[in-house]
Amino acid sequence: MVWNDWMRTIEWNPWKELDALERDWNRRLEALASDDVPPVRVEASTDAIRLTLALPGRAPEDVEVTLEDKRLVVRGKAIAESVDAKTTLVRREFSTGAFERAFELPWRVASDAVKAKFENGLLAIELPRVAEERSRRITIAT
Amino acid sequence: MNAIQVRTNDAGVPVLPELRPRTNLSETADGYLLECALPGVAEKDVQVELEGSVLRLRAEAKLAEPANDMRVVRAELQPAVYARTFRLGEGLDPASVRASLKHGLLRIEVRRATPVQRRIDVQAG
Repeated sequence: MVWNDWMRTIEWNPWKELDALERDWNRRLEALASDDVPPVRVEASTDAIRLTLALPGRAPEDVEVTLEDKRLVVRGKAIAESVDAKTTLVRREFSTGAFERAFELPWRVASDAVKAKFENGLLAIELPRVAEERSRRITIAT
Repeated sequence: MNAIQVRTNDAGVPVLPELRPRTNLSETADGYLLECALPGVAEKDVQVELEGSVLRLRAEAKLAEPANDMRVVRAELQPAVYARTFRLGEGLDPASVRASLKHGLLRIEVRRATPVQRRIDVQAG
């Protein structure tokens, strides 16, 4: 008897890719998480990533988002304090200074399809995966 | 699989966690300025109430729902209810409280109470 043991079913679990992505992200972002860096919420599918950053008090024109290859950088200027020499800070619980936070993306992004929206102090960035790398459905010829 | 715990109330309805909004406090020329970080909060979702000298703040911060095929990979930020109580010290005028919300930052200004001077007539007798 000859067993065709050279042919095995390969189980492909798309969630495994996301599990690895999650571990990877958390490992890298853990190193960067601190009180002075804006908190981020990361949502992902196999073909897109959405980043939401909390930037309370920041004006959209003072925030810059740049994409360099697979690296996304969000930079912000310090919040302009009220022009009053007599105002002195007594207690600080959050940072109003300049900040920079970088994200290493797991795949290449279609830079012309990136969308960024700023609302109520939340910056939401949509990053779709480059078309050539997307998961594609294979049609079965009949 | 989400690592985020969803709390539910007795009826099984998901309940938003309550967080104290981070607040910066400054002393101004004529009083105090509170700046509360309320990212994701719109003007219609914030309530500021003053009872005597107690200032209560409550706001619901919404986040966009994740798209169908997306899952949350890292949540340093979550939908929440921001709530905090501030006690205005003596010498502050509660009637002078002014609040404004812009880009998720709530500014609350309070002035020092001006001492009311009244001339008291001294009556004979």
